[in-house]
Amino acid sequence: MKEVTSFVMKGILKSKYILLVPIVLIVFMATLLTINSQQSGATSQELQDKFEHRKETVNFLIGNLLNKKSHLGLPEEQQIALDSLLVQEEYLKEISTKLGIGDLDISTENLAYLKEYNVYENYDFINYNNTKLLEVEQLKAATLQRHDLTYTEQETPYNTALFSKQLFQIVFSPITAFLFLLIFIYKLISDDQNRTFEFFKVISLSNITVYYGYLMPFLILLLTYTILASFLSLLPPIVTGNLGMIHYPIEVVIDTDTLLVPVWKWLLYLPIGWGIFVSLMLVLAICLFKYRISFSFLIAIIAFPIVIAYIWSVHFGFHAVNPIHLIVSYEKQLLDPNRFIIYLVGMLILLIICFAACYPVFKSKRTVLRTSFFSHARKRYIPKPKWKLLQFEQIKKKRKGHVIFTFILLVGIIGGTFVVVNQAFQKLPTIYLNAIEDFQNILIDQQVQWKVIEEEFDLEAEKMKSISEESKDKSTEFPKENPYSIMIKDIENEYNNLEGLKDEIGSIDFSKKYREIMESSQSYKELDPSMWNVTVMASEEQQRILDEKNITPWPIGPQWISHFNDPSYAVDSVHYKLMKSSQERNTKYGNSGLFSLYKFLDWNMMLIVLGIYILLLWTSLSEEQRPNPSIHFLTTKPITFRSIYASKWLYNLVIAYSMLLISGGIVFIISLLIGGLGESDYPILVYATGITDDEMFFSNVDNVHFFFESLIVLIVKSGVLIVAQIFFLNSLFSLIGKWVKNHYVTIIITVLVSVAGYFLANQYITASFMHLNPYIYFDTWHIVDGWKSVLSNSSTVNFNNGWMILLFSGLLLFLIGFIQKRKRVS
Amino acid sequence: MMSLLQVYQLRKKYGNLLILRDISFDINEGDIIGLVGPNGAGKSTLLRSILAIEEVERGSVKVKNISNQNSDFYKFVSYIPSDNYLYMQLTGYDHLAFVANIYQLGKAAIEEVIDQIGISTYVDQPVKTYSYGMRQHLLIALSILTKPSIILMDEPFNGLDPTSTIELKELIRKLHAQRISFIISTHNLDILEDLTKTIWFIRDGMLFKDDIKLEMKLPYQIEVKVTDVTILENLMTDCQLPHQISENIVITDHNYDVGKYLEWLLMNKVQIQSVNQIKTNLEERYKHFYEVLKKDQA
Repeated sequence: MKEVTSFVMKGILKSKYILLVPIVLIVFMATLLTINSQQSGATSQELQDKFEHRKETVNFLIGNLLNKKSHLGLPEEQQIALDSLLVQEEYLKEISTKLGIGDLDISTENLAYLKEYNVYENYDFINYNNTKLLEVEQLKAATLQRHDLTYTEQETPYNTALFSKQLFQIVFSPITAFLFLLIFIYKLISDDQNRTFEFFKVISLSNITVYYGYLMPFLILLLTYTILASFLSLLPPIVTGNLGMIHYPIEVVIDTDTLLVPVWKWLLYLPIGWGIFVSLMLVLAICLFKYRISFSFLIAIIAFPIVIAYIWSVHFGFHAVNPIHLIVSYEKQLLDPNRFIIYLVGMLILLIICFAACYPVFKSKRTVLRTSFFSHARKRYIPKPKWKLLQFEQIKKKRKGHVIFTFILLVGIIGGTFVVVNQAFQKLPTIYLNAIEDFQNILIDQQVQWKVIEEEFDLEAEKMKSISEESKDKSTEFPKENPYSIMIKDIENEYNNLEGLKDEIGSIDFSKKYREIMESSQSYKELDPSMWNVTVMASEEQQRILDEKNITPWPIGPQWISHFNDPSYAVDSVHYKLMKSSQERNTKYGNSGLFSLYKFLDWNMMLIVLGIYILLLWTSLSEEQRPNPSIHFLTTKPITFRSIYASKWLYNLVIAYSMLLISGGIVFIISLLIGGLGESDYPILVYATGITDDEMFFSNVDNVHFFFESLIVLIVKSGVLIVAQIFFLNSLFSLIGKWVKNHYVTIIITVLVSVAGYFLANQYITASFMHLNPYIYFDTWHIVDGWKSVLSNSSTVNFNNGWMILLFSGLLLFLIGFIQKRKRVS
Repeated sequence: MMSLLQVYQLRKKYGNLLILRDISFDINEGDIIGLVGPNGAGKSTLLRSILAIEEVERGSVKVKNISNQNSDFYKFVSYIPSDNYLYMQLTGYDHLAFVANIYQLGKAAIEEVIDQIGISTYVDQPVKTYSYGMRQHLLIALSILTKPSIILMDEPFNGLDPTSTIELKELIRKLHAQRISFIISTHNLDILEDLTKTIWFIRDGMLFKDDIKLEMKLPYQIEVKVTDVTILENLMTDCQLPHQISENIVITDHNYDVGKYLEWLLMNKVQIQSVNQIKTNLEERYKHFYEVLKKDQA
């Protein structure tokens, strides 16, 4: 086994690509370091904003108390409260000063402030902080102080262990795991095709020796990669002397509780967990390879249990025997307290068992799957009489490996979207918690304002009473109770309702309760029409339709935020914060198949798919020109030049549509298992420009008509538009490929033309002729939901014109290439 | 009898440079034409123009009365190029299967050609793993798969080892026996001489295919019967005709009529045993042709 290991290792080390790994790692880390260092400051800004806000509130309260003191005097408790506020003010000033000069070493002052606030809370006065959040803040400050650490940049770190954590989460991610597996499988299959395994057999090496000998170098490489990546990731904090930040506490929300987990736990867990997970995949891969499973089946068979394990974890939560938690969904269950140690040990034992279980597999002489259907031995091309040129294109692409690679990429992109949507949905409890606490903070601020006004009212009332008593005027009537007290009470009730709601996060009807608390009790119709904006109107009308159709609304939040209320349209930073907060409280989440598909279209992920088609999958005549003039191979056969052109064009279409259908279909079916189909009838807001209809609604504020269309109709329309986009792009690619002799130049020109077309379509969207630009219809979802017509201020930018223009221009481009004859005699 | 291949007034330019000057010729069934010429003479261009791979200024090419503008032309014509036009990622079998499919041939035809050329050990490997010789074998297999009427070969012997060269020559002879015609462009004059007597020279875009025009005055070898070579030497010195003597052989100079030598010898009562014209090889004829052409041009 040592000989085989050494042989394989030499082969790997002599490969010209081996140096690529450390180079890519270094380049990537350096790039991320540069980006982070330039954008750094988000945490500092956040801290500054928080403490400034507190300081303003404290100053406000102090001001009012002093005012009251000067006129009426203060009762003893309020005097003590004032003293406490003054102490808090001092701490807050110190903190603000430090933060102002970029010094984040504020844990001591913060702890002192929080301790003082704890004391202040005992007095019967205005509490201006969320108590629950303060507990976490206090714990964090104490932890920082204990380890002699400062606050540090958490969003874009670059010189601390948090940067290492960020890097670890990338270099030890499911994607790198999958890449490692691909490289391993590729090595096995290519060595087999180069007859290396035959060579081993000929020199009388046993299967055990050979297969374990192949596994060992990759396990060594895995270990090397882990050590190298870990070392490089830890280099910045080591060099800058910030390694102590491995004790930095990171907030992890588990249900309704926020726990603090030190960074070192991630740094320990991620590489070990990832390493064990990849090792398990390699062991499985080599056992399957023993039976000479083809590449595509190998990937599929390995992916299958992984997908099942993921679905299991989504539906049934954490299980200690599920290896999927080695790379995903581990934070909640494992990092606190130290359960991850037991889990890792358990998984390590599993790995050892699997490693040992390989023995009988390797020893077995029988190769079960001899049929070429499963076998990766290069199958002979057996052509069929029909569609000869199409078949030939397919075999060319297949032999290059582009078909399987594109398929894997598409599954990755589409599947990745679904995973991202689902993962966001899994975080719903955290999102709800954040939204509730966010809203509670707003209520606290409002309450502070109203309490101060309540105090002022009381002050004023006392004043008036004194004056009246002095003047012995009994005609003046005094309110029996302070009207502001009722408002404060309402806010308190709302706060308490939200607090009670927190305990129900995770319950079945939580979403409904949340909506009920958050939604306005007043209909927009009760307001003046000059206040009817699309968001308010559409939210109510949508809810009405949902109630009529008995459809459960998508969480969270009762509002459907229209594009007009996108934070990018804010007039200033305060406006931006409000809009952003409103948007976050009403962002929609789901995990059903249709919802994920809606998100795929909304995020315009199709552009990436089209990019892959151009870069990787599609063929053109230019591919036949360089480096080998294989065009002469074709044209010296009884095949017309036009048929070659047309068959390449047709092949591109067929393969693009089939790929999309198959990869999308597979991912969609898996998503059905996770979240079900979803509501096809869900009403989606569609804008209408220049069209009036009695069925439509009109917003005076946003000056636009709108209506609702069911989700499935919009998805189908998007599908039609995508078909047309592929048709157009393919025709363009084919025509350019006919004129250009280099395939890479064809790709570059196609990409440049597309980027330019897309840029023009968006930059000059209001130009009168822009509806004729096919690229304006590449924003699929914004075409079908009518938003593009709003932006262009033209009703001609719509779905119907879109698919027609794309198809017509595509046909025109194809015909130009087709009709143009190849010159043989002048 | 109608010619198999008719090329008429083919003219081709690269920029201002005239590569083919109104070339016309016919090829009949069973002809093997050797095409020789210096580098850049236009050999490959001629073959590519016949196949319509190159665009020409004017002229026509027909095989069995089918123009090369018609894709049916390629049912009768095969081509072995000098450059590699195969798909590197495909196997040899992939190429053969595709061509067989286009020509509606069955699996048996593919297997026959694989056996005939002897490429079964590597036909299922991708072409990128092939040596130059292996690729040539595959190209030959592809060219004969469709049983064409005429095969155009551009430098087919380049890069072949001696065994492969012999095998290819044998194959050409075998196919020739089946009435397949060849146009073979090559620099390898020895091999060409083994295959055919019909050698066409191409230079400066012109094709010289009529051997009579190239007729060389070849020297003679006159075998005489003498008792003493010295006597012969003295005798020939007196005749003032340039010559060489090797034992009892007098070699005449090709610029002089052999009759003058015979007349002198007979006059001096020398007994003539035999008179033979010395055979020259293609290399000498090639050199002679280009010297004549140079002189004519001067």
